[in-house]
Amino acid sequence: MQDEELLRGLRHGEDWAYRLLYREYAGKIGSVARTYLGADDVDDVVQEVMLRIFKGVKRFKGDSKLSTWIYRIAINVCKDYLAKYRKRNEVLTDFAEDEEGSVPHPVSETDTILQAAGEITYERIMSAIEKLSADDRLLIKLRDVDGLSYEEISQIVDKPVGSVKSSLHYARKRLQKLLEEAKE
Amino acid sequence: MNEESFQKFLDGELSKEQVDEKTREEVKVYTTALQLMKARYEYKPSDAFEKRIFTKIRRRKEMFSEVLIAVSVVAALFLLTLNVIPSRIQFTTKPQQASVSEVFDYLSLVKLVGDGF
Repeated sequence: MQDEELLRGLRHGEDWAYRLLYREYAGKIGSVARTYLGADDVDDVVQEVMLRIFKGVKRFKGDSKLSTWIYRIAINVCKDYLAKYRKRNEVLTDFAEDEEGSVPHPVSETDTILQAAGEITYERIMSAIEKLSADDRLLIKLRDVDGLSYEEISQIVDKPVGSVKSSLHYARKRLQKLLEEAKE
Repeated sequence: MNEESFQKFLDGELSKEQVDEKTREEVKVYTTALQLMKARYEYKPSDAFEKRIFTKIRRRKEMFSEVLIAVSVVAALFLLTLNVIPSRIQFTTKPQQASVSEVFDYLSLVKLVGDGF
């Protein structure tokens, strides 16, 4: 379905449009939130983003792609959450802080993936990723995992394309260095 | 490893054959990390969560229409008051004006009688 049709439905408060939006974007929003916050429980973030979409869709002029606008809302909500938690000095439920004290394997397919990495263990790779800043993780996810264009990312993070390119360059370098260290 | 070709490969500007062996190794580890990252941060919302969100959205919609109705009622009342009160004031001012002038006439008579003494 075209963005315009979905947008029209959302603006009229149609149920089908919200259901479609949810099915299309809830996973993406949650995944961005998990990446940015490094936290497991992001249901509240997804809910807040959905409500902000409901509240603001009539003001959305369509000057960017719908997905870009939604990503931007998701990141703003994440930033608000992070600021709120920092203010309260609370620690988010981190992946690394589960009961056993180690990073759990999420899926069995990771073993297959890991064969390509040689001697580095899953825990070490995840620990390297978690050492990155939230912004670095986000840029890497948007570009290298989700495959978004630099222009889209620039609109999402509200920074010039050149600045995004340079930030991503350093983020990649940092992850590469952390992975190097994880090998040793 | 060639840093530039590593970045270019990730941006899809170079193919696997165009990068050296060392860079290829680095890319392999890096893409493994990306795959793990994707799997780790994947989010699948539950059906119960979907229900919860839609209940909230529905409640907001209802609240919005209730507020809209309330605002319309207040606006209608306001307009009604604006139209009714001035017409009432016009009715009441005329008799008041008449009675004030009558009182003045009476008072001036009293003063004239007083001057005679």
